[in-house]
Amino acid sequence: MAYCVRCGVKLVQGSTVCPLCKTEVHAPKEIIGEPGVPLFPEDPLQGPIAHPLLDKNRKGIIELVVAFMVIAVITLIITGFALGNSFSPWLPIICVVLGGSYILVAIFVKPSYTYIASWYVGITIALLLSIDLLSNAMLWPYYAIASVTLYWLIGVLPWWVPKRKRKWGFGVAALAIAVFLIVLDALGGNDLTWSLLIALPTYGVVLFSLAFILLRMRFGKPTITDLVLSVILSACWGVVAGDFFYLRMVASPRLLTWSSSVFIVGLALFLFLTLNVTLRRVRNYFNNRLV
Amino acid sequence: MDLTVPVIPTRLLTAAEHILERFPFFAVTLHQGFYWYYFMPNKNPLEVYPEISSPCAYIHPKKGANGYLFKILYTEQRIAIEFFHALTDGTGALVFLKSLVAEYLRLSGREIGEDPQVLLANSKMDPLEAEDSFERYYTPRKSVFGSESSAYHLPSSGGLTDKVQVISARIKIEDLKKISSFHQVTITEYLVAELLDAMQRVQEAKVKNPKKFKPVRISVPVNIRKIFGSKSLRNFTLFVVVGIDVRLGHYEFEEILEQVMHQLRSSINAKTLGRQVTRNVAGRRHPLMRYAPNVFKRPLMKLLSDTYGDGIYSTTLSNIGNVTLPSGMHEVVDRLDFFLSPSKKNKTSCAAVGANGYLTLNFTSILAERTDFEREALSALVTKGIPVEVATNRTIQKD
Repeated sequence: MAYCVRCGVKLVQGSTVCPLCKTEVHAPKEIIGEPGVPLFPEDPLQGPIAHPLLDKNRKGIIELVVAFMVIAVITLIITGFALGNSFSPWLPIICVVLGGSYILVAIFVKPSYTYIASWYVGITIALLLSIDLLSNAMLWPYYAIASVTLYWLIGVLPWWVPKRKRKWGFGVAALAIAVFLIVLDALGGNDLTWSLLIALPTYGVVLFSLAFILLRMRFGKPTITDLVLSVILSACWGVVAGDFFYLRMVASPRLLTWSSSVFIVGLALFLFLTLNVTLRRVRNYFNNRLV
Repeated sequence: MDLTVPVIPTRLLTAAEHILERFPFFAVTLHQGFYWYYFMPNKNPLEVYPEISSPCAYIHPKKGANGYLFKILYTEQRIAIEFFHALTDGTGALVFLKSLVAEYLRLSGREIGEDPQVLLANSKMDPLEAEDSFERYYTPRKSVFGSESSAYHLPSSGGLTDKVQVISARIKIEDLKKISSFHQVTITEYLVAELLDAMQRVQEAKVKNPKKFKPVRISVPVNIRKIFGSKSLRNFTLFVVVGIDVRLGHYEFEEILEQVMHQLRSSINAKTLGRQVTRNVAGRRHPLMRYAPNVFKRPLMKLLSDTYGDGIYSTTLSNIGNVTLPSGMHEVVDRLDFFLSPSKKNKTSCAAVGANGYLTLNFTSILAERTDFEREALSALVTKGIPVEVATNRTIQKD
């Protein structure tokens, strides 16, 4: 039986490496001894668990989906030939292939939210572009593509990047919302009126007030009540800002119209939160509490 | 429980079937209702399973152990049980294991002496053994949620693994008794202090900026049956959290020991623990909670458990104490082990049990590579002159 020279612990018979510090034991075989009964028996499934292999059920589902897709495509091609120019089978074929690929992606792709969501976003964009290309669908596919891309930038990208770079992911997501507003306005055929004069300033106000929550989190953990009220406060400021900037666009002499009551609610919340934080700090100071 | 006699699986299964009749409250399965999870009697045949290389594996409520919420495992010379904590705690599990092994040995032709923790297969069940003691000892008083800040948690650098990694340390109880009586504390208090000191050193090594230090706390489960006078063999355990606030500066071992002794002794009483009973039961009695669907309750419970449970302590030390074995069993039991399942937040847990003059301190971890905490704790014992023998189920790569 040997000892670890670094940790000083006694190792079980036959052990040649310290389990605590991984230091190798250099001792004669008589001291190390023959390996005894291990703490746990050998596991036939040793090693990392890999992505589950295709089992019988999954194989069956794949065969079924591919079979349906092939039958549908053949039927559509035959129908196309039979009806001649009055029916174009290409759009339905693309829909069938891409629709089937949603199911196949769920089976084949690594089962993680970011991977599956990214594949679905890609397939959806391909589907929307095909619809636009083959059916002359005017503008709506572009609105849809912009929305799907925005979803990816907000809902997937921040979770895709490594944790330490996540704040950059959220930054890109925040920027993407601003770009999305401009794109919506541009697609509407306007000369960037409401996006620049109302939407972006309102969005800026909301971001600014949300930044205060982040700042608050940096200087001590806020309570859940604080957080909820702060988010409500940000929403209030957003509503008020929307009304305010709209009135500026239409050159109204009034500062606020319908949102004046929301403004009062926001003001009350703001005062309450400020007093709450200040009084808590004062109380903690006199109670000699650390946080 | 490691035996000196071979384990025959078919005989073990027969013993388990006999003994389960004495513990009908364990013959249940977990059902998910719209409002609550609940236990339902399970009539499926019992099964015994060969042990695998890591303990505390996930038991699927339906397929894991034929619907049972515990698993009987065996190797050539070992009988083990893994329990879902909702069913019972360490004490209940120990009574079941001792009774099962006693029945197995009886079937093997051995005479087993009397022991209060060994229940005979043909004895009559006391209804109090099956009661939900949390409900019984609940008194409607102010339920207070502690406002502890979050504690330091071991970083997951080096990655996590889905197989529980064990480092098992064997220490002579005599050595531990000597050193703890020198410090005038109990063995549990001494071990808690050692673990706190080890965690403090790990934090000091890992966190470079002292302003970012967090308190180091350990959760110590307490068998509250004696305090409340309960006979229940179902889950009836609560925990006391003891710790040191390293933001105030480095604590010397003597200071830690003093803190642990005072915190533990002042917390283990019916009033303080009763507050936790009230907290646990009042929540589920609240009309809003009763009629809220499970789909809402689950994330809420997770949040509460993280905020008021796992989040406020760095690790757990559960010491089941020195287990006495009756005659006939004492001679054939070589070693006793107790493992606690680690959680995603508290990646390493410790469990201790004493038998045959040895205390086995098992560190279970989901950290794939890092063993700093275990090393700090065990090498500190060695430095103080306590010999420690270690074994592991980890696959070790030489440095």
